[in-house]
Amino acid sequence: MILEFDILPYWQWLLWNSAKFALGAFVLTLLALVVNFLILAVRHGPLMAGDTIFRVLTGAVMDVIRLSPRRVYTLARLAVRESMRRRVWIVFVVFAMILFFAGWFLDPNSQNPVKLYLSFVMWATTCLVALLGLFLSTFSIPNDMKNKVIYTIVTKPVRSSEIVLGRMLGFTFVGTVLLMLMGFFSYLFVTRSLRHTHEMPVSNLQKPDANGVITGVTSLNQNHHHEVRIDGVQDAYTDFDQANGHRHSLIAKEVDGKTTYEIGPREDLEIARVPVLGELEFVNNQGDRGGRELGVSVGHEWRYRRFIEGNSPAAVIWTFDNVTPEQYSPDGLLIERTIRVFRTHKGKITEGISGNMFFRNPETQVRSTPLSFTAKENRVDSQWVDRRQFVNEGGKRREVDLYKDLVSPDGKLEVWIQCTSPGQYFGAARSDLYLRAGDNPFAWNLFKGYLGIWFLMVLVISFGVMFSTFLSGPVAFLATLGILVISLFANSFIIPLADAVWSGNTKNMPGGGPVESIMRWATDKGITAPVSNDLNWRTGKSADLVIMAGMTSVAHLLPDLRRYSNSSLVETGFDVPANLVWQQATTTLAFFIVTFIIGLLFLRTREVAR
Amino acid sequence: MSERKTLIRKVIYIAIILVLLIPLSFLSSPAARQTDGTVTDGGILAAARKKHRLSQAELGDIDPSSATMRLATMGLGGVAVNLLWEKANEYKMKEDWINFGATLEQIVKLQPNFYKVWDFQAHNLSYNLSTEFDDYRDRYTYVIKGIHFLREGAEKNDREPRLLGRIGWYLGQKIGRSDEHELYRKLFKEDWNELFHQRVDRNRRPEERDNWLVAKDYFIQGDQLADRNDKIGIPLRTTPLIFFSERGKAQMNYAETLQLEGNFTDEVKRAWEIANSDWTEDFGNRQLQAPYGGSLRLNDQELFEQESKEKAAELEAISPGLREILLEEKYKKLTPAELSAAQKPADERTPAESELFSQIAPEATVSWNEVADRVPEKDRAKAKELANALDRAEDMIEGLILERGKVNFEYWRTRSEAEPEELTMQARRLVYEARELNKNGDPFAAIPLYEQAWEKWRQVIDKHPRMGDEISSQELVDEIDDYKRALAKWQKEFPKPFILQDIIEIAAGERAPDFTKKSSAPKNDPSPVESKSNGEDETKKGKQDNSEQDKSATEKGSSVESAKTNSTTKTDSTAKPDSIGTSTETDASRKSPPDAPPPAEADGQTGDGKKPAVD
Repeated sequence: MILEFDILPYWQWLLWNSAKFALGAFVLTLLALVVNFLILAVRHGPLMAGDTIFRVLTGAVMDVIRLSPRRVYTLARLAVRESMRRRVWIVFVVFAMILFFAGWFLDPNSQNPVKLYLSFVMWATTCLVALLGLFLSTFSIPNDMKNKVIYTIVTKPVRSSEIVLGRMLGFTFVGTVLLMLMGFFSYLFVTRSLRHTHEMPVSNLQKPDANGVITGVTSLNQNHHHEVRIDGVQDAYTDFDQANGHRHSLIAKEVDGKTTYEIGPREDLEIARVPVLGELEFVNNQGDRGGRELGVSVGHEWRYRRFIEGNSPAAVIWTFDNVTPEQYSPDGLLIERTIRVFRTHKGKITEGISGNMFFRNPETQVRSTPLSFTAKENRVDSQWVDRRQFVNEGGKRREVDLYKDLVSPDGKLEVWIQCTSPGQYFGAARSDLYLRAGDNPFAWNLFKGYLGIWFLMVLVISFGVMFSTFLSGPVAFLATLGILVISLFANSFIIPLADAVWSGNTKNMPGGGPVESIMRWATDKGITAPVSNDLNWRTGKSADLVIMAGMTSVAHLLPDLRRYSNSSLVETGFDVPANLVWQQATTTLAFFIVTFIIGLLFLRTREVAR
Repeated sequence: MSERKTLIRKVIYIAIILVLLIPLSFLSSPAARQTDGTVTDGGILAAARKKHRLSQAELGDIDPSSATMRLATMGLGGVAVNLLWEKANEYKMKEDWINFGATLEQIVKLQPNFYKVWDFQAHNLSYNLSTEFDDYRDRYTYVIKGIHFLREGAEKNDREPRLLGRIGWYLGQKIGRSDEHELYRKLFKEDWNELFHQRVDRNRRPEERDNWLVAKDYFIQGDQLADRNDKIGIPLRTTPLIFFSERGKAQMNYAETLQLEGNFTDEVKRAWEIANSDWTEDFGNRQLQAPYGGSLRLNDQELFEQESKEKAAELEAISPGLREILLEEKYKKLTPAELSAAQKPADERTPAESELFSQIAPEATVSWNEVADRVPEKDRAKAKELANALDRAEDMIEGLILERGKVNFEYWRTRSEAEPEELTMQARRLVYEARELNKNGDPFAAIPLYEQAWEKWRQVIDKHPRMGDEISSQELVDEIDDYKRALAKWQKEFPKPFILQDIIEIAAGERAPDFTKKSSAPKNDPSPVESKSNGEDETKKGKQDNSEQDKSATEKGSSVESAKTNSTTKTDSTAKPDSIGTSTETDASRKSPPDAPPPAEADGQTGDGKKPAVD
C-alpha cells in the first residue's frame, strides 16, 4: 500500500488543522475588513466607511439567522431546473460513451487489471464531475445578471444568503445524482469486465503425493493462472493470486466414474483490506534507533522508502497500538508486507533476498525467535503469525503467548524486519507492513472512494458560486480553476518552494521563486547555476520573498486536494479509513461555510442585491 | 426584404452547396486501407498525400481509437502528449507500473507514427523497468512487454524497418546477452506464461524457439522492408552498414551460444556455415551506401586490391623504376628526421614520427599521377589513365578498410569459416569440458584436456591467424587463467615457453597480432581427441536435423540459406573445408573474381608507400 501522507487520528487532525484554519481565517477576515475600511474611507470618509461595514456585517448576520429553508429549497429547485435546461445529463452520456469505448484502451491482460480499470473509471468520473461543477457554478449567477433575470429574483422576498445557498445546494444535488449514476455504472463496468474463470484440465494435475494431495495449475486467462492444491475436500479453492488479489472456488464433479474439477467464478476480488498501520522507526548499522533519517538512501529519485543493510544490526521497526485478540483474531495475527529490495550485487538470480521478522515487547524487551521469509516485491506478502510463539532464553526455546508476553500491557507490539543477505538491502515505508484487521466489502469501499469525488465536487461548486457572486462567468471559471490548480500543487510544489526561498536551502528546490526564475530564464542561466550578488539579483530575490509569503499563505489556507483522492486506496484493494472520510467531510464543510459567507457578503455589496 | 426572396436565396445557396459537394468529393475523398492491406487512392488530395508519402494509411495500420483520441484533443494533442510524458515519468519514479503502462498506451495512441516514442518507451520497459524487479521472472515479463510494445509499433508503422531491427536487437541482446541470459533463454524457449510465442506465432516449432533465431527472423524482415523501401525511394534512416550486419551477427551469436551451452554437434557446424553464408554472401555482396557518396560492397576490397596490383604492374612496365627514382629525388630534399620517418613502415613509427610524416606526406611520397606526369610523351595518356584508375582503386580500398573495420568484417568472416572445421570444434569442446570439470571441482582431470585444447588452438590460429586477434586472445586468456589456477591447485608449474605465449602477449597489448599464416598449421585432418566428458553428451545435445533450420529460414522468408551448402564457404577451389590451406593463402585473397588469375600474395603496399592499416 502506498500512502504518501500520514492519516492522523481525526481528533488530532481536527485540533491541529482547526487552529491553523482559524488563524488563517482570522487573519484574512481582519485583512479584508481593514482593506475595505480604507477603500470606503477614501471614498466616503471614515465614519461612513465604518457605518457601511457595520451595516453589511450585521445585515449578513441577520440574513443567515433569518434564512428560510423553504425559500432555500425553492431556489435550489430553480437551480436544478436551470441545470436540466442546460442539458447537464450530457455529462452522463459522455461518461457512458467513455465506458463503452474503454475496451479499446484498457487491457484486461494487464498485470493488475482491477487497478487499471478502477483507476480509469475514477479518473474519468473525477474529471467529468469537476468540469460539471465548474461550468454550472461559475456561470449561473453571472448569466442571471447579464440576462437581468436576477432582478426577478431579488425583487422577491428572498435573501442574498438564500440565493447563494440555494445555488450551492441545487448544483450539489444535480452533481450528486450524476455521480451516483456514474458510480453505479462504474461498479457494473468493472465487475463485468473483470469477470473470468479458468479451466482445470486433468492433464494439468499431478498425481497424488504420499498424503493424497493433488497439485496442479489452471489454464491461463487474463494473463494469469492459479496453482491448485486438492486434499480431498469436496469444494476447495485455488491459491490466492496476490498480484491480482483474488481466488476461485474449485468444485469436484464425478463424470463417468472419473473426478473432474471445475473452476468457479472469481471470489475475493471485491474486497477491501482493512490495514492497521504502526509507527515506523529505523535501526542503523551502529544499533542506533530513530526516525527515517537513520535509514539509508540507495539513490532512488523517489524518497518514499528508506533502506537497511543486510546481515547487520540494521532493522525496520513498526510499533502497533491496541493489539488485542478482540481487535484481530484470538488465534494470531495476519501480517501483510511489501518489502522493496535493492541488490548491490546480483547474487543468486534465481533466489530472492531473505530476511527475518520477529516480535518484541517494548516494555519487557522480550523478543520472539525470528521467522524467516523471502522478500516479494510488488506483491502483498501475507504471513499468518500464530499466537504461539517462541523465545530463546539461555540457549533454550520457551513457548510464549503473542498477546500476553509479546504485547505490552498498554497494547503495544513491535514488529522488527531485518535483511539477512549480505550486501543487499531492504526498503520500507510506514505503510509497507501492517496488521490486517479484516475486510470490508468492495462496494462499500468504492462508495467511499466516490464520496471523496463528491467532496471534491462540493468544493468546486462552493468556490465557483462564491467567485460568481462578484466576478463575471469566464473570470469566475478561471479563478475557480486557479484555486484547484494551486490546491493540487500547494503541498508538492508551492510550500516546499516557499520553504526553499525563505530558508535559502535550495538543494531540493533549485531555481528560486517566480522573479528569480524569470531572471534566470532571461539570462539563460540554469536552475543550479550560481548567480551574482549584484543589486538586480538581490532585488529579484527580495521580491520573491514577498511573493512566496503571499502564495504560501494562500496555499496553506486552501484544501490539500491530494487528500481527496481515495482512488489509489480503492484501486489497490485497501479500505478507505473512516478517519480520512471524516477529515474530508470536515474540510469540505468548513470551506462550504466560508465560501457561503464570502459569497453572501459579496452579493450583498452588489447593486442588484440592495 | 420579402419572405419569398429570402426563401429563394436560401434555395439557391443550398443548391450551390449540393453542386459543390461533387468536386469536393473528388478532391478530398480519403484513402482507405482495405482488409487485404492494399490502400485505395481516394481523391486528389489523398493521391497527393500518397505520392509524397504523407498519409496515415501509407504509414501503417490506422487505429480507430488512436484517431478518436487525437480528434478528441481538438488540436491540443501536443499539450496532451507533454502531460502524458510527464505523467509517465512520475509513475515510473513512483514504481506504479500499471499506470505507467496505461499511460504509454495513451501516448502511442496520440503519437502512433513517431518512431522515437516506440523506441524510447520500449527501451524504458525492457531495460529500465525490468531491472526494478527482484524476481527474474518479473524482469523477463517486462523485457517481453517492451518487445511487444515494439511489435505494436511495427504494425502501426509498416514502412519503418528500424522498429523491426529493434525487435531483433532486444530479442537477441536482451534475452541472449544479459546477466540472466541463461534463465531468459530458458523462459523464452518454454514460452513461460505464454508471453511470446503463443501470442506471436503458435506454429513455431520448439526447436525454432531460440531467441537468436527469432531475432534473426526479425532482422530478415527488416532487411526486406528496407530493400522494398529503397526501390520506392524511402531512405533507411539509420546506418545501413550496421543495420544489415545484424542478420549475420544474429546467426553467429546463435551458433556461438550453442557452443557456450556445450553443444558441439552438427547442428552447431551447420549454424556456423549458415552464418558464413549470411555474412560473406548476403552481407558482403550487399550494395551499401559509401560514407562519402556512391555505394560499395564489402567483398570488393580484394577485387580492388587485385586491380590495384595489376594497374601498378602495368604502370611499372611502362616506365620501370621511375617511381623509385622520383622517391629518391624527394628523399634527398628531406631532413634526416623526416627521412627516417618516411622510410619506416607505418606501424613502426612512433607517434611523433607519424605526426611528422603526416605533415610532410606530399614531400615524402610519390603519387601515381606524379609518376604518370614523368612518363615519356608517347605513353603518357595511358599512364594517366592507369594513375587515375589506381587512385580510384586506392580510395575504394581505403573506404572499404574503414567500413570493414566498423563491423569487424574480416574477423567474423574468418571466424565463421574456421568454426565449423573439425579442428576448431575439437578445440572448443576440449576447453568447454575442461572448464566444466574445473567448475565442478576436478581440476586434476581438467589439466590434460586444457593441454590438448591448447595444441588444437595452436593449429587453429596458425591456420586462421585472425582467430588470434585482440578480442579472441582475451577470451582465450581467460581460459588460460583458469588453466593456471588448476595447475596452481596441484602445485604444477605453468609451462614455459607456453604454446600460446603469443596469444597471452597479444591480449596484454605487448604485441600486435600477426595475420600471416604459419607453416606449422596441420595439412591433414586432425585425429579424434580423447575426451574426459561423458560420451553421451553429444547425443544428449541432440542431433537436430540441419535441414530444419534451412526449412524454417526459408519459410520465414530467407531465400538464401537453403541454396547455400558447404561449397559456398570455400573461396579457393583447391581447398577442402577441413584441410589446411597453403601458407601463401591470405585473407586478402580469399574471395577472387571468377575470371581472375590465381591471386598473388599481397604485399600490402599502397600508392603512398604505406602499408594498409590493420583491421
